[in-house]
Amino acid sequence: MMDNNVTNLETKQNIVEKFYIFMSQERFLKGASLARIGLGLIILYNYIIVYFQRNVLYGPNGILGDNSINYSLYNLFPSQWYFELLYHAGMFFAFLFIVGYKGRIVSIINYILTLSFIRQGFLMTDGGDNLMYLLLFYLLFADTTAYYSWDAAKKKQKNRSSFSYQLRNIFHNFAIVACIIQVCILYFISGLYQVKGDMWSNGTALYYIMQTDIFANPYLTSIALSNDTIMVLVTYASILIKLAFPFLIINKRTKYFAVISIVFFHLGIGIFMGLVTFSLTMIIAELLLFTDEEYEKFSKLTKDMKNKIFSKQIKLQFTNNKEKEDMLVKSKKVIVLYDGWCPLCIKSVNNLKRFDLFNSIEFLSFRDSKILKKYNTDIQTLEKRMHSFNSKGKANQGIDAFIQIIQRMPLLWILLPFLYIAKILGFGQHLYDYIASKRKIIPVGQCNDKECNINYFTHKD
Amino acid sequence: MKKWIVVAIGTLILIFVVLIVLGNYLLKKDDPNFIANLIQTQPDKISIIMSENDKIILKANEDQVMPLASVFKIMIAIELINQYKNGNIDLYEKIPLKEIEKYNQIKDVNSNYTLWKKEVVKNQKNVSLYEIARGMITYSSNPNTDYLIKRLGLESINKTAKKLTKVHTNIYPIGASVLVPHYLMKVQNIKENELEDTLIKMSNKEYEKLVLEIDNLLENKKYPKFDSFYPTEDQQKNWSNRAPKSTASDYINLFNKLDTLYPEEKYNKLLKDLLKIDQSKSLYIGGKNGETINVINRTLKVESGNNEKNIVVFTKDLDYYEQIKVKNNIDSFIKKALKEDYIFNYN
Repeated sequence: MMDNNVTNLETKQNIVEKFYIFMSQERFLKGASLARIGLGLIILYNYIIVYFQRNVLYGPNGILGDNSINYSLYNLFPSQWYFELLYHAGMFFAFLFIVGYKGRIVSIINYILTLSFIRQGFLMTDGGDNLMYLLLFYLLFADTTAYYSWDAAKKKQKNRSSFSYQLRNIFHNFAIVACIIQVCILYFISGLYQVKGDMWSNGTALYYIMQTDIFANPYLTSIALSNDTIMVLVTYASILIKLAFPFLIINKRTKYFAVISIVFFHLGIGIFMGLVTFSLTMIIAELLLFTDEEYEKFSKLTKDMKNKIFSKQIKLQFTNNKEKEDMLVKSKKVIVLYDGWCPLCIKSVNNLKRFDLFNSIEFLSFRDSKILKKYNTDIQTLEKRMHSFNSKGKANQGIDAFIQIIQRMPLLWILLPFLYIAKILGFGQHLYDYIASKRKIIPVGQCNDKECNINYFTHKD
Repeated sequence: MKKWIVVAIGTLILIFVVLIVLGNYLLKKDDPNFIANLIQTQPDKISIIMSENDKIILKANEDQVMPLASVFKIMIAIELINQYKNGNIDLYEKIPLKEIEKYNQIKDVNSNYTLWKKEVVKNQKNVSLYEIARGMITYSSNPNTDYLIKRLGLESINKTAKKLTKVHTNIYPIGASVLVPHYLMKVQNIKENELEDTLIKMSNKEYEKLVLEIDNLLENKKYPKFDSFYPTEDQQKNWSNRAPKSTASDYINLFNKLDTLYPEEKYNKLLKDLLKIDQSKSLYIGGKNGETINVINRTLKVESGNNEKNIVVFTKDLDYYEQIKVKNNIDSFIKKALKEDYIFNYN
């Protein structure tokens, strides 16, 4: 068919084009946003943990202060107010960075202030701080406020084919790829150094680390030191996983294994060696390895699992109506009958459901004939007022039903005094009836009644 | 040592930049053979058929049922002329613009309508039915379409579509169909993570019923208020796959008899004027495009002198890469096909 003018697809061309598409589309936004929050929290933690010692350590006359070799904003002016200004500005911008306000500008200011802070405290830094300012630098080119941020709340609709959109994504994706490469180099080089070291190759390194006072948690080392075999195995495993890391993350499945191992490795360092911020920085860097798609899959998986564990009741609803009713009675739930044909009612029910933290109310539409039969009430009465039934089947209507609902929602208890006053003074029920009479009814959903047959095909002509 | 690191990083960045620039260039480069290749490599994603003076001269997978995107608007144009011919409506009746504005419920998805207002309507308060139909064809404006659907009647439009084709699924209001995911979430209270599943599992009949239900609510001003809604990519794909469907051979047959659809020449000319894209002394080009997130469709009629050529290209389920490539190259492919650069082969 049509082979005259058709050459085979030029595969090379195809690959380059697909590379462009890969780089110019949104891919690593969620990981970058999570990393922003994580790194921001660590920066803020670093500021707060030495807040009351800040003058002694970092101040112009402090132990680390006024260091002319160090390139840092703190060294520009040796005055007290200037130091205080920088320190507090650092905290403030770290906070803005976490919140994700004006991401592009704030991330630059935050980078400069954090770098200055790290340099000023050069004697107190560790590998985590090094990785921190490298990542912060790469992330300057990334869009770190696309999710979970102030900026994201007023996100505009984007046009995928516009060049500016694609260019933004190219910078973003390149920045994230740079972060990933950085992390890989870090693990690989560190693994290589470990292979070179005698203590690592004969498996005693961890033992000696545990012996030094600064790197040992006095309460936990005895547990760790009690088993030689485990110590040796952990030592070798740590070298192996670090060397294999760059290769493992290429495959989607082995990536999970690599990340989980590294996370456990750093949790171990954090707990046993007390290098908390170092471990956390390393773990947060792993967040950048996953694509938005993977995050969505993960969140769907957790939601499904949550549903499986917590909502046996919901399952029963589908299996057997009788069983469900029994279940509801047993759980002392209140059953509320509402009008499923009235948009206002549906909307109110949806809003109320949000406040029903303990899942103690079951909303059922009385437009369902089975439900109507079960509760043995005529539809005119139900249409007039909302009804609620407690576990013994006793009915409340109108304002009383409303009070019964609110009683089960602690967040809305503030309304209760007003409702009680309205009820006691006698105008509560009248007010309810007035509002209820104003609602509009349109049949939606399954309609069994004859009234519900609307002819959709009628038109003006 | 340091120098080597700088050189290594510099080279990496250079390779990256070169790849990006090259990729962008190749993607935008004219490549009509991409579509010819698509016919061979992904036959279920594309239908093509071409005729010269009512004789089929090129065809591939022409009987597949494909989503039409905006191409179905041709049927509404035909029904408009039908009703004008029967004296039911006056083509030049002036309609207040606010009557059409009523169907601009989701402003974010109706940029074509805004463009039509800006370029054609300008300061006019009233527009004729004919102008509304032209806006539907040339700007593919959805509010114009929905207005005409209401005015002409969905039932008679569908009857016409079925009469003129062998296969044609029902046409339904567009504005209401865009709101389906919104309705499921906000009114039927379906959670966001269950929405995709619900949409996929729904039968076409249920879907159509839902669209008409929403349309009914909108018409009676009983649809819950909303500020803005823009369907996600998955929702757009589902919407596009659910759109009215037909086959390329049905549409080429329709195009072949477009000149003789009515006994009176006057009405045939009116219809061709409605579908006109370009016209000079001896040349007429007309037709209707259709584009969604995963569909790029073209129907085209070209008459020069006594020679007449029609071509219909329908696509579906295109991934993002294919969508870009088809979009960039379909017009040059059609130009080449019309020049008969491609040789057909009956199998």
